[in-house]
Amino acid sequence: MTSEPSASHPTVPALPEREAWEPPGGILIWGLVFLELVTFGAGFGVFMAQGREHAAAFEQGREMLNQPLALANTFMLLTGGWCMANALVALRGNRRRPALIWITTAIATGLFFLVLKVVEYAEKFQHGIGFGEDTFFTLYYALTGFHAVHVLVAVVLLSFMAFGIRSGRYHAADHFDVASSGIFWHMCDLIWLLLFPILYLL
Amino acid sequence: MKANTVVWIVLMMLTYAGFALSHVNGAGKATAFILAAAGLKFALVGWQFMDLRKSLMLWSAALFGLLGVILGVVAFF
Repeated sequence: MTSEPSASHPTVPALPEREAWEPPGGILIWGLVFLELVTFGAGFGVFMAQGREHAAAFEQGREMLNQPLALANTFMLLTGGWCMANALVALRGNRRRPALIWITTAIATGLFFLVLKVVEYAEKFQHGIGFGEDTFFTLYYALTGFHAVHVLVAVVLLSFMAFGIRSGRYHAADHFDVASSGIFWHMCDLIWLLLFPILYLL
Repeated sequence: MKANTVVWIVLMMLTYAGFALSHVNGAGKATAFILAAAGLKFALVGWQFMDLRKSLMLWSAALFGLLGVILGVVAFF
């Protein structure tokens, strides 16, 4: 089975049939999603256990966090998730230009998230609050820093996908990589949706 | 795309509600709402944005089961 010829791809080779039981984006990326959620889940468990042991220090530490900034970051990631979901809808409908606009906007939200994260850290450093300040801030930097690295990787992944959409490499008949990258992007959302209330709100 | 937009609006509203509630007194009920809202948002992202609604229930069950375990651990402490 081949796709219809296009100007940039006169003949598109047949794609392997995806197994019907596979999750969206493929089994490998979901294996990674579950692994990361278990890892962060363990981190949340440690954070909560330590919070019970050092209640006063954790309450004090939480009050020093910039909640409005974290709220803005949550809005950014959720908007990025919305954009990525719409990018895939557009791509499946063979609307490459709208797909490119949506995915580029998702990338922008990810970059904005990282900028706000740098601002948040800079604020702490200016007040002399570093990684080894106390248990609360060690866990805060570890969890949010590890998450930020994931967001950076997601931004890079989506950038490659954007170039692929722009060049015509990805289109309605071949967008599996874009779907997989989207799953990784949404994974960053999932982690943050738990991280934000646990670290900043509770 | 319409469904995505509706879900996005709900996610934003739940996020702001949790943020606002975290500043009111009565921490116990606020904590319950904040965790419940986080779980609901997690489920909505998985179901709608990650297209789990189009796949076998096995994957949704696995993801939401893991969510339940994580929230259970958090609520325990």
